Amino acid sequence: MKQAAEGTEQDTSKPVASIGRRWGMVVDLDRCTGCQACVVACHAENNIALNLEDVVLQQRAINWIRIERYWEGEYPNVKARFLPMFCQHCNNAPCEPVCPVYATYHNQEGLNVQVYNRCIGTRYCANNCPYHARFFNFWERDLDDTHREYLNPEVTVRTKGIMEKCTFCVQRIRRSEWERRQADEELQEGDVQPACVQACPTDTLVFGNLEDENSRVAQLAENKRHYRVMENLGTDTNVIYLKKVDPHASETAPAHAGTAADSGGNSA
Amino acid sequence: MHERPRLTPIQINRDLLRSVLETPLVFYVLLLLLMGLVGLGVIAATLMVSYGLGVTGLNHPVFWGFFIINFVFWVGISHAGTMISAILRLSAAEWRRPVVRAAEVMTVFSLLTAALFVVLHTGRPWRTLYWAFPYDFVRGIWPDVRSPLVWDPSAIFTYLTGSILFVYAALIPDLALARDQTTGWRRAVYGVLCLGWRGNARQWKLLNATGLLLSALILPVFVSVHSIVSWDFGMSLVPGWHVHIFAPYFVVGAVLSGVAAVIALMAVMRSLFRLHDYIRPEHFDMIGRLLIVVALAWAYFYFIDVIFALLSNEEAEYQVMKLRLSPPYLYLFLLMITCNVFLPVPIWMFRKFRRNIGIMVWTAIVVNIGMWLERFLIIIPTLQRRHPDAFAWGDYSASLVEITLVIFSFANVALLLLLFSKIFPVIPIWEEKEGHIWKREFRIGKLRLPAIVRE
Amino acid sequence: MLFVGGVAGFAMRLGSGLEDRGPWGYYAAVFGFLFTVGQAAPMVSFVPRLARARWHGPLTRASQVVAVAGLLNVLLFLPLLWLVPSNAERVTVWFNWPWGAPHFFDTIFVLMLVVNGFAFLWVQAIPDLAALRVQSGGTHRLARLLSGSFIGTPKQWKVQRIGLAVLGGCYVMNFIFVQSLISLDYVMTLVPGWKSSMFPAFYSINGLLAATATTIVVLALIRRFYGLQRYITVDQFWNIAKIMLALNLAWAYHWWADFLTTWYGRVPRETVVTLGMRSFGENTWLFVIAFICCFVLPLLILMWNPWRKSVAGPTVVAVLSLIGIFIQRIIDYVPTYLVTQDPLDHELHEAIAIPWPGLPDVLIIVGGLAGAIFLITWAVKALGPLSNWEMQECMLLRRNEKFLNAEVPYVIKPQ
Repeated sequence: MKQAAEGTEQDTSKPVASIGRRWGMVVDLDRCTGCQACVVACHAENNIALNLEDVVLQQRAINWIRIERYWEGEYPNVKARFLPMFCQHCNNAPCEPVCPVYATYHNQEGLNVQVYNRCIGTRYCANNCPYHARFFNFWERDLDDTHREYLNPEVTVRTKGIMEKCTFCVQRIRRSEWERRQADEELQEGDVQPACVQACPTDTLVFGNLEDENSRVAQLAENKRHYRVMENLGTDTNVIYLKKVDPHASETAPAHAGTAADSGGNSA
Repeated sequence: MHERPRLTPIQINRDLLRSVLETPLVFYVLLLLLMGLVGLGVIAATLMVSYGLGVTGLNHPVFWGFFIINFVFWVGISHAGTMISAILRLSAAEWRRPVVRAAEVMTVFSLLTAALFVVLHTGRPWRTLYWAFPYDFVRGIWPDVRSPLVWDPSAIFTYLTGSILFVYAALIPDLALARDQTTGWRRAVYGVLCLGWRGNARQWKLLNATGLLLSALILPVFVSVHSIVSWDFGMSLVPGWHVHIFAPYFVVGAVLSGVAAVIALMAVMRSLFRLHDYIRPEHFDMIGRLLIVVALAWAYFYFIDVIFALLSNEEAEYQVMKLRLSPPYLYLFLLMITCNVFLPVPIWMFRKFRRNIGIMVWTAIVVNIGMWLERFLIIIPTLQRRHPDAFAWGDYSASLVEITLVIFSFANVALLLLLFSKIFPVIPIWEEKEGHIWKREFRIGKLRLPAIVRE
Repeated sequence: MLFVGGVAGFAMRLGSGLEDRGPWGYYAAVFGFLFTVGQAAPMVSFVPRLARARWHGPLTRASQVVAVAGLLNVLLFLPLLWLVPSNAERVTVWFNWPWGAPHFFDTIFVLMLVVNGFAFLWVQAIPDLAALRVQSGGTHRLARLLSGSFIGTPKQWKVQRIGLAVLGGCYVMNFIFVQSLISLDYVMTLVPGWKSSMFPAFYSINGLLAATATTIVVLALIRRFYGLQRYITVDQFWNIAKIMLALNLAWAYHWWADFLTTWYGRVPRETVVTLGMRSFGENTWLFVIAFICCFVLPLLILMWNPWRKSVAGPTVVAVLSLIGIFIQRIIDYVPTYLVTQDPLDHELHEAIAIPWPGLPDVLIIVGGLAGAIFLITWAVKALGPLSNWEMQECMLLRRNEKFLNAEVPYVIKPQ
């Protein structure tokens, strides 16, 4: 009790008193090849509904993580730029205060959590998310027996009419925590890896505790290439991107990816 | 003056209770028609609840569609009642008398319809009760008061309660009259409803005090309701919605559509119940004058909204406005601005047109089409292109279910109004009589001029 | 005398040059205030007339006469033209539109408004001037000149009526338009990243509030110094106090809508300006005073009918509101003119505190106000404190008649 009170006093800028852990991710765009392994891994891990043709045509596909592709430059010097985009777990999240039922809130580990059971599906959070990271279940899932075999038992299958989004694989965090606790130990660096991080072949995605100065993710976040997407909205995200190193940057005109990347990019 | 016939109290009683005591054929025809449409709506809603929101045209970037447009529209219409009755009562405008009740009742019914759409548009309507009525407090789970969607039901239910009280208080003397004019079970029902009204001096005094007090108290609610509806949009970070001016702008728009709807309602009542002696061209004239001011104020706010989006050096907002101002939305935009300002305002400028009921009805309908489009243009294009460099752009076309439910909303309000007119007198009889007593004519030179007591 | 002092202050400021905008903040605030107050008041005479309320008779002159302060406003406006950068250096409502904007066009619009105000005053005063001409046997030169050949034929009355209606309608629209424009060109677009679409609307509301407040103050003064207690009754104050209360509430509402949208949105570019500079931040104490003057005290006073139905209550509220609006102008103009950041920047990085006024500033404030008061007093002297014909008309259309046992006033409403 006392500790919690002290926590709030020390750091009033954060919505919730932290417990010395703030999960975050660093995305090194210089390494991303746009291979979509993370997307597939995420689908498998989190029981995401299959994006069949008709659903995609209805513009209702669900992708907790997706690779945004931008074209840069003029033909013939066109370059593809990739930007993995998923829930940014903002410390100052636009989606949180607008939910009338606390179905989405900030927990003490810096995660932006979605409570499926609580959600009534106003879809206000999705409107207010500038990253388009939130998805709505328009249909009930039609699962046959074979399909049930593929489901991850640790993740809820979402019903129709509720929102869902990237959780930083919270089930993995909880499992690691539990395993460590069995051995009476603290959670260690490298214990937790979300599915996308695990699947990434180029080590683009790095996950860890941003509050721990020695963690790899915290050190990478200090890299001078770092920026956050749409920083001008003041969302204070827990996902940090590292700019692509482009030796010929000055020769080509800035294009779409540049706009997305700049923190105050909109005035460009 | 032939325009303002002098009527005896008995004649007033007979004319105004006619809709309650007699049931013409046209009533049944209308009833059947409207009930059919409402039935269709119920089927559509059932489909939607059982299959999920997939049956609508909503999709990934466009999460809000016809339902929210309709919600805002009906909340807007509901502003007519208070505007007409509270503000005009407080400012002692005489011409309000025959219109007040119809407007107030329309407030109640359109608010109910609007509230229905909020519930319908959620993904799990059966759970939406969680937040409108936080009954789950045993587990310590409360709604989040930071959310505009919690402000919404609070405002709507406050307004609804206030409006119902408002209607009911003004109904009491008329119910007593209906009690005296009917027999059998109807007499008993009216007798219970009129709360033992005898019409003595003390009761009248209390009634007057209630009317004034409720008028004054409901005004802040009236402003807050549509402000809060506008903040559903204004509080978000969506470019094109996060606009500071939204609150007063929405309120003015609501008054515009609501008061215009009152015109249509008045005309329907006039011809349906043969109330030509009570709802006269002069009333349309006065409403027309009021509407000129409201429409111009709306145009001012709209102009500011557009100009600010265009002049901002914020790319996102600029792009959204550009989408709203380029085809195909350009055509809708032009239609809307024509419907709301360019067509009706010049018409209302002329006394001759203001006193022509046919023309007034058409302008009223046109304005409401315009106002519906206005909400459409605020909600849909904005959601389609929320941020220029991100990530999912999309389009939206309403499904049959949504269209049915929009038609349902109109039929629903009309049906409720029709049923109301069958049970209660639609024109406040006592107010009408009061107006007659206070009226006097004076001669100045050769002119005979109407005059009224100043309270 | 004070006015001369003001001119001296102006000269002192001029000595420091026009290149640097910063020191001119207080000067601009005085202009903003007088422009709001002086140009707004005539609207009060139009609105009750439109609503066909029959208590506005004594009000019209008191409100319209304030329009003469417009003369001073034009003079005050001119130096601002040099202070404010052109379109090319910031984002304005003019986009990249024609040459001369904003300076040339703003001047035109301000002149238009002032001329419109004078025309409104003049058309309204014609019958009175004609009466004065007749009364003085044609010796009053000003009256002879201004009243023309008005002898009160039905046609002349009709033309005068239509003139009043048209000029009044134009004036209201003109006022709101020019207020919005000036507020944008001379305040908002000078600050990088400040974009609140409430701003022009808030200015218009401020204008309406100022209009009512000024009218009440002038009315109270006229009543006191010309001994017109019989003509300007509590009735006028009572009625206009209701409008006053409504406008005080509208003021708070508009502020609140602006504040809430910004505060909830938490977008850095907005919070620095709207919250930091204008409400709770660097200049909290000034804002709180303005808020109390424009909303809290008026609400607490005018809520009670006995206070509403008096001369003192509305007058006190009016004075408070004027003070509040003046402080608002200081909050709006002074820090804005101190901003040195490039207006084309994306956002302002830190809020700016308001410095105390120096000697020249005080002189300018006092001088400006004195100048305006002088002009108004002169006009009241020249045109008379009340509008005779409207008084007579209102009296003609009001009858006291027996109604049951009581004597009650009837108001005649011609079609």
